[in-house]
Amino acid sequence: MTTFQTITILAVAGAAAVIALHFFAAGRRLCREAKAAPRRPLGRWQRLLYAVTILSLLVLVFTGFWPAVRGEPLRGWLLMIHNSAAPAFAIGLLVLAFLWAERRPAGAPGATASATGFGRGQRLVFWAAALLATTLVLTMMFSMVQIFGTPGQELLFEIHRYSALAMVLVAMVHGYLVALARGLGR
Amino acid sequence: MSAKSINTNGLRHETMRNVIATAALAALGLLLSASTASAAEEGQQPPGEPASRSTFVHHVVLQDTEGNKITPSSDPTMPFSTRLSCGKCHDYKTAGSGWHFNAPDPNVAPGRPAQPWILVNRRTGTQLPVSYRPWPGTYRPADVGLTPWKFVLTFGRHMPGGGPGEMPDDDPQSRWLVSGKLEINCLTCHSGDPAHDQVQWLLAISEQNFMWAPLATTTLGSVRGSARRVPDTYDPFMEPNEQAAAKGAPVVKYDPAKFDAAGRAYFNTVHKPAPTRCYFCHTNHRVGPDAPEKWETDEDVHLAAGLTCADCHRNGLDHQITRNYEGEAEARGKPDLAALTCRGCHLGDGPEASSGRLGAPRPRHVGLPTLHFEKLSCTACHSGPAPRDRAGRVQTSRAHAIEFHGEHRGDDAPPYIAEPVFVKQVNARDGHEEIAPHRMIWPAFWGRLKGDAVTPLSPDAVIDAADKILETKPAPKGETAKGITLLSREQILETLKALAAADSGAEPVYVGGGKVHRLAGDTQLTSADHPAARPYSWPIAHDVRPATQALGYGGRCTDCHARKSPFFFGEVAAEVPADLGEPERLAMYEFEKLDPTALTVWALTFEFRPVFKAMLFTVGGLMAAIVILYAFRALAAILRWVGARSARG
Repeated sequence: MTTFQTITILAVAGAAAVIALHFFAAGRRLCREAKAAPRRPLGRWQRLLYAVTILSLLVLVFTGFWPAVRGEPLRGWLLMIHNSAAPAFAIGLLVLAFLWAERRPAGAPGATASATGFGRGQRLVFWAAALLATTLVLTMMFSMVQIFGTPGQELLFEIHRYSALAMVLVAMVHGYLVALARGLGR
Repeated sequence: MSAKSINTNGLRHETMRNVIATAALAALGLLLSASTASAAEEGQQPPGEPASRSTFVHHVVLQDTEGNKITPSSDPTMPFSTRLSCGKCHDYKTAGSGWHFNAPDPNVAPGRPAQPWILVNRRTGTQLPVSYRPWPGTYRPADVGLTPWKFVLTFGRHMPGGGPGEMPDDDPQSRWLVSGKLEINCLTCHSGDPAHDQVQWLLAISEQNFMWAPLATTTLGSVRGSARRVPDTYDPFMEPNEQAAAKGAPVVKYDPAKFDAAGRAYFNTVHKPAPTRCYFCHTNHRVGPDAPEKWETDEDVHLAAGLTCADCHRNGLDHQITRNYEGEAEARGKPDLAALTCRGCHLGDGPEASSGRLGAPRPRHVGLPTLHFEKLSCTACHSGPAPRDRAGRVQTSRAHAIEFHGEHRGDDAPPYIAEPVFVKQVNARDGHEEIAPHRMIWPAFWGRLKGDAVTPLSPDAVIDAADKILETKPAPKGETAKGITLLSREQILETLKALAAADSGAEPVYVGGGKVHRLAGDTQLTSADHPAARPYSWPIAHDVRPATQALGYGGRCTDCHARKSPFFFGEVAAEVPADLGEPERLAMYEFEKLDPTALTVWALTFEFRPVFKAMLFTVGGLMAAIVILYAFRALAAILRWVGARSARG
């Protein structure tokens, strides 16, 4: 088993464990608070865009990590599906960033959950996702141009896959926070 | 020389006609052996090679196969024996264990499949890969009636001697007592004499002058006459008056000017053979309508840079010349051999490797995703002729004897070998599969089908059964596209009938063009796929092209990733020396074990790749701008907060 396989399994299992612990420790209280708080549901187009972005992320995670955890290179049809889903995810996240960056400023003074429709955790998740998506897109783009030799290519690939792993963890946290915000588990 | 070695390696034994002469000469040989025996056989080690890199001048006391010292005035004048003349200082047995000689030894691991010998017989439409090494897809010489004697007569032209040339042989048709053994001719590789004429070796083999062959290639003396023309009872060591009875027998005359005052002959030898010596047996020559002429082709880039073959393909006295494929180091248990592979020398891969030997440049492979290094061998992009829509034909020294003039030459001469064919192979280093360029031959031969197995028949056996049917008739002009007379379907049909009549046991078949052909009634042939009809291929590593001519260099992804690119969609024709209709054509992806639909779709994406790149660079750039912008804003907010707190004291 490669280092990346080990780290992937440990990281995902660890994140799941932390989420579970958090849920049992504070999840029910947070759910009650979320239910009581005023909700600002997304509009139809934003919901669609959000759904496409999440769906493409799931495709990317499956096509990217399925061979990775099996110790195989990404190739063939999986590679083509991965490459096809990447633009949808990148563009979707970019548009969401345009739409939500001002609405959910990271660390802005006075920005509260009620004012922004989003809590501190989700703000952190949003900016982490934006940073990681930028890294994911640019690492692959730079590997396609005549700049980096083999060591550079290897570095770009390593950054890409560890960023992808971080994105998976961020997505797990995001999913948990969304679930909490919807009062699941009450 | 010991008595034992006389029995196994010399010419004397009890079946000689003149028993008295035999006994006398054997006794003489034993007496002489006291002073001239091989040091190795007496328990002493030969002195070995000097450690110096300077040239060692070879003044050698020549000996014949009986251990007799040779001078220009010797009577009878015999050819020199390399076993005894060279073996005084270089352990002949050790040198004889090298790759060029050890194929018949069943205890030697076969190594990675390589070019086999190819048994060609135009009359019977035969082109069959044979090898003493058990490479899958090849047949053992004995399978097709090739005894050591026949093997040497057939392929000795491009053998350096030794191996089958010195094996025990019970072939009743053999004439080893007349021809002598075909000893290793050290000069084949190690002669530095510009006048060394290896073509004379071929002539000597064809005349059964095995014992005389090494001398014939040199300027030490001349050989006239032919062992082939003398009776089986001819004895090369007979007294001159008896020898006179054998008209046309080989006669040796040495040039006295080549001997010094001490009676030693001077050999212009080199430790490291020049590439031209290697080329005698290892030249590849493309033929066909789109093949370049010789002057239009370039040599391997390593040779062009000033290296020689032996700079990379190295060996010690054991002549286990390194082949330098990945996995050889592991197979031979010599980790340091990894330094001599492409990766070892250029990239420094491997525990014992260090890159840059002999000035090997380290490639940057700019813009090349590293996945390619797992899926392709280095040679896939760098070696052999660039892939074409149809794999071309190539003729090789060993398969076509291209060093010699004659009817065997010509672009249409079989065997038909295709190159480059990209085939998925197992990397012997770690067992992963990778695509590598190969040469490929489709077997064509007669055989008998028993169960699922096809047992080949020797061409001689087929001719015995169907001599008249297989008579070669001059083809009317234009009858065949190849311009030579090919075995016709009618001949195949009639020959199958004749073979069936000759032996009602196993069913006769003709294997060719990727199919097994059988009788279906009296007038029809049926054809079917069969493992015995599958092609044999062997990886190629040379000629290495300059980096700028490597596939994909400089971002030329579409060298391969294009619809109908030759690398994936080039065709390979199943050509054999028989007229079986238009040869079946297979695409490269079949040998690469790849999905053509996936390849096509993947190639299509490259047509949109510039747009894809522009779009995603824009997206990535904007995302980066947003992240950076808000990072600065966050920093500004922090500074404001810290400033406000510090103002409050």
